[in-house]
Amino acid sequence: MKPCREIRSIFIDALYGALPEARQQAFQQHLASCNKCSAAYKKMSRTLKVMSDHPRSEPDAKFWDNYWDRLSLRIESEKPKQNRLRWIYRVAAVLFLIGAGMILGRFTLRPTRVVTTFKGDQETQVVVPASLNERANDFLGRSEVLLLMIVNLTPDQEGSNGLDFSKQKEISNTLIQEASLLKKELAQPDRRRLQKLVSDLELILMQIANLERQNDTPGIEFLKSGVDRKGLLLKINLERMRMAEPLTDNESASSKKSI
Amino acid sequence: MTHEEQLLVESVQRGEGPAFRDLVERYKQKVYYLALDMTGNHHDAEDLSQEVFMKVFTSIKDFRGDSKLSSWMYRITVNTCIDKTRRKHFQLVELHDEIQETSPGKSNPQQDLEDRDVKQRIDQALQKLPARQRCIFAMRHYNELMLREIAEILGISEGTVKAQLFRAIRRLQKELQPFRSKRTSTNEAL
Repeated sequence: MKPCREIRSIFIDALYGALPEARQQAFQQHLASCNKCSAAYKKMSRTLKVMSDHPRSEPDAKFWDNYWDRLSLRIESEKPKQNRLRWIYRVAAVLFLIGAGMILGRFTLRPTRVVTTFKGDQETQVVVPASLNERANDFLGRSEVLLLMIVNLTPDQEGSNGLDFSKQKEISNTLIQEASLLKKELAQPDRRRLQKLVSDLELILMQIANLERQNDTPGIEFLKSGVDRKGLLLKINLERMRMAEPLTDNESASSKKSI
Repeated sequence: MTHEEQLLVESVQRGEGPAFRDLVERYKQKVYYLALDMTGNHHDAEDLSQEVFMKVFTSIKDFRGDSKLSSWMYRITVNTCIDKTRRKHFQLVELHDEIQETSPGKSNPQQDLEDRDVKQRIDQALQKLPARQRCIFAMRHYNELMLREIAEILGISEGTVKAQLFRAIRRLQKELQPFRSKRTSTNEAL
């Protein structure tokens, strides 16, 4: 005799008349000899009979006649909605891309600095975004070098053909751009002094950028007097010394905020 | 896919005016009745079947004829129904109140009442089945699809279909048990 489990696995085929002839006899024999399987099969069979005797209610012919009309009406009414949705999705996608680009650009195009770390004998260089303090310090450092270069020029020693300011003008232009960005970022009250220094330097840098390419001795003299009068080199030194000192808690917080 | 089906699909894909209507006319009952078995009420069934045809309308260009057209449409119907079932709990509404039946009217009011009661219980029992089991049962019992075809539509094995169908019938049997006992005591014919 076949085990009950095997017989029950073919109940579905038997219930829907899909049992192959070859298995039909073995199935019937098992049911005749096994009360448990026989009862289970009868119950399932009765359930299906009740369901078949009471088929689902069907709609009338009118329902089917008008089906297409109702469907085509719906398709027509959904079209503008779908077009509108398509436009909304497109605009949203464009806005998303612009936003993502801005965020990405802000992070990736932010001024960076290279940090060198040592692990054993290996030297690793990592590029990290620079903080506002670091960028201000860097700006002051490069401006200081440029001013020192200008202040220490002695036209008589260089000879009549030695005064070419192309390089200085180029550096000035770069620093002017940095200055305009830094000024905006240094708008907090506790950074006003640094902001003022950056503004003064921006003015001097503009004068350097406007020097004649060669032999602009009067321009140099005018610059020197301007740097002296405003005490720019001293102010730069003081400011850089202040930056080198550890930050107080308040300064640290505002520095983090500005980053 | 038969040659006729293939021609119909190609016509719809080319956007020929009456072709889509032909397709709807040909499959509306299959789609509607499966939706009806899944939702248990006429209003949602019509809404779902229309949704199915709108999906067919937009995605038929991607139909490559790997399966029968009817299987493809059943698959869309099942997916739409299951998706809707997840989002919304359908309410059973007696079909008798909603639409008129085509079956000839019974002369015996007592019998009418009883039949109505049985149908309501059957609908309730069906709705208590998990969506997947309900869908398998409806496809086999009411739409008379072969187990192999159901397996293909649902993307599962024939054995799984059989097991799910077995469980569905056992569960229906349990749900209809009190009714069957009552009926058996009064009417031995059952």
